[in-house]
Amino acid sequence: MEFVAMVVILLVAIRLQSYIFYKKALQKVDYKCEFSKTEASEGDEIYLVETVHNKKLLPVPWLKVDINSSRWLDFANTRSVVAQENRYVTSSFLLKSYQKTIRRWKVKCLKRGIYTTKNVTLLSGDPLGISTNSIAVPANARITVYPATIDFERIFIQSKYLQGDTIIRRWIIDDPFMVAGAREYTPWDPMNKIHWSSTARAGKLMVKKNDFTAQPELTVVLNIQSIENEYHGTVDKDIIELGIKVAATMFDRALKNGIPVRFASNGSLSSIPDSMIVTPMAGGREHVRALMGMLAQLELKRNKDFEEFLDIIEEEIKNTDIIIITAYMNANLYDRVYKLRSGRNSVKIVSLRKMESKNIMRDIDIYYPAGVDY
Amino acid sequence: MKANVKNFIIKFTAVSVMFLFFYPAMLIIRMGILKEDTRLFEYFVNAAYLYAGYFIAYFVVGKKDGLIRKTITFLLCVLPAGATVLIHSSGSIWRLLAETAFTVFIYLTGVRTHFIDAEDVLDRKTISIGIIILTASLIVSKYYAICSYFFLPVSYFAYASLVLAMVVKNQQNLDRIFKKKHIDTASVPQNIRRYNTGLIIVLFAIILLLFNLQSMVIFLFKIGGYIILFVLWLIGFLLSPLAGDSGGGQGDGGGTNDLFAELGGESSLLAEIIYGVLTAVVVFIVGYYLIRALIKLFPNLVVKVRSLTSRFINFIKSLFRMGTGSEAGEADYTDQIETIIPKEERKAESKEYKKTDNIKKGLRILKKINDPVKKIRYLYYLILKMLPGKSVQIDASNTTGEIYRKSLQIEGIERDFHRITQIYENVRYGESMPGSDEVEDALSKFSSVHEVLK
Repeated sequence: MEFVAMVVILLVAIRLQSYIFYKKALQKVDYKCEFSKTEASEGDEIYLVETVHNKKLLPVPWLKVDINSSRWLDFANTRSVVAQENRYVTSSFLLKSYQKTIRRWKVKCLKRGIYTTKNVTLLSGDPLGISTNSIAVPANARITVYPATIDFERIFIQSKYLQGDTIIRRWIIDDPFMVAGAREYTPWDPMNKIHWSSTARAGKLMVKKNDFTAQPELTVVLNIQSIENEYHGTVDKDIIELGIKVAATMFDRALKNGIPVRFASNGSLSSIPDSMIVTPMAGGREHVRALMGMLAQLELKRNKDFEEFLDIIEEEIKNTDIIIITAYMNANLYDRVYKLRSGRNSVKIVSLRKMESKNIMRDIDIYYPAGVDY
Repeated sequence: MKANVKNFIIKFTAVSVMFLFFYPAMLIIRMGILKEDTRLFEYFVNAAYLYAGYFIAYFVVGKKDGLIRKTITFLLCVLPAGATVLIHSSGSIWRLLAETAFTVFIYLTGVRTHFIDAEDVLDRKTISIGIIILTASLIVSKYYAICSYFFLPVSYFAYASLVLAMVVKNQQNLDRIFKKKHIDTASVPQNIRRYNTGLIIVLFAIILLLFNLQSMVIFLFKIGGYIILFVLWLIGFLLSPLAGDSGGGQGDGGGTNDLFAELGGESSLLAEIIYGVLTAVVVFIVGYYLIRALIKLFPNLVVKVRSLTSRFINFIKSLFRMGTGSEAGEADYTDQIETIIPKEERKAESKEYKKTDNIKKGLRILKKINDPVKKIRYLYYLILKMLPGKSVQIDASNTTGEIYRKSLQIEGIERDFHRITQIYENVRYGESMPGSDEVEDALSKFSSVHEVLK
């Protein structure tokens, strides 16, 4: 009888501890998960901060937190599993009575994007593993990773200098204070801009070209297609990612030079998946940040064929510097480029791939990859 | 600790627990068949056979799961069998056969444990069967006189196997919960392992306490009884030379009678008195020195007991709480750990010291405030509370300057209150930390102002 009682005591004690931990372990446990910053750039190192507080006397002998994040946020290498686009991280805690633990994971932002961790799962139980209990906790940790900017002059060279003795790398956006010459008067030009001596020479009304360059505007047009006939997702993602970095660099330079800028693309945003992107022309830090945010959430999927897209936006874009960032060029695209130029636009092309010389139009500024790493 | 070392330790412990579970049954069977008791030496020899099986399989087979290697491992049972034959060659043939059979069985069990996962070595089924076997063994050894000699060893086996089984299950549970598939490097942090082991030991101690609640009281009484008996025996021992070595001892009183009989030929009242006095003197002297020694020992004893108690309490406390503000971490992260007890939270909240209309209470609070900034602000607050008592009405919108000008109608505080106002403004609006001399100055001025306003 004595030994039977001992066995009963043993079983009851084990069952009781299991019941207590099952019922109480996750009670009065506060959990919070957030990024140390809300915005970062590719390559930046930030922190994912987990705060967990046990607000009761009963300790939590083990607490497992399952975090579902993106594979492009690189952290917890030894305790995470990467599957497709996701990174599953297990965070393990021990919480004594009234203990608060703040855990900082060093996160490297590998790729642009908007990353959100909506929910995490907390799992705990008794030390002997007889019973476990789990709850889902809203985390809503969100970070916008902007694309990195590149050293454009190092990575790209201009096609017109390829034939010469030396290759001169120069900035794609002209100096706004440089007077380029004179051009024919149009009804939209103010009278005080008429260049009288040129008018006398040409026999028709001419205006100073620096009217145009004194208040430059920049339109960055990004072709999201990596090849000509691409109907679904982007085939060569890396090349388009380079294009996005080029666009980010343009925005950054425009901000530094105080140039109003607009962004247009035949891709779409993850928040508005069915519409193309054409933003208004504006300047300033907030506008550029908004454009960077668009680049961060740009989907690698075409919304419209690039040629059609150029046809659509052609009417809207006048009197501006246009930079077309594209992975390929063909005759149809050149036609659109000439059409854009006829709308008093200065068009430059940034080709993301090397082009054969037969495909290069000598009268258009084209920039190539110089073949260096970026 | 490296993962493979840790896994090995867990598996080795699991194998040991399994042995502890099943060995008592073997003791009973051996007793039933051989009618011979088993010594402690044989327990270690059998344990060695088990581990030999395990390690031979580990080194011969390893991770290469070939039939030939396995066969060699199983055939190597001839080694422990041979050793058994050597040990028991002098005994009967039946004992030799039985011991060899036991040895081969134990060896093969050891080999088998190498081929199964650590979790399977000590699964729920094994634990349940083990507990049944241990209970049965305890019952048999308790109630059958022939087996009573191994009641104590089996009890120890039961406790040891229980606590080790709980620790193994706990560690296996942690591995199961935290380990991810395909990640060899994923591990449970050491602090979680250590803490859980500690928790299991506490749980086991509680279970032991429940087992022995009644027996413990009896045990403590017995200890007390033994001490009293020892003291009495010591007194008797010291008195025995006086009583003479008549062989009968003093129990029958013959000793004294004989002594005095030799002196006077017969026992007399005088002899009884002398004996009584001598006994009393000896008891007094022994008692005196004993009590003195105890008094001397007592403080040391108290210190020792206190130190042991405090260590034990600290250990228990450490299971519940860490020190505040510690830093810990692994390769991937850093942890900042702090303990926030609700009482401390409340204290922190009350840092903005309680405002009161009762000036006496306010003065007591003022004395308790250590923060110089808070002290100056509270001091000024008390003056504001006192001013209406002298018909100076203060509005919420009044600036310090306005308040000072209003206070000028009260005689005797002009200079002191001006200085207090200056210090207050520096602290309140200049966000400067007052020096100790400024605080002293403000307090002395406050005393003067308080004398006038009270």
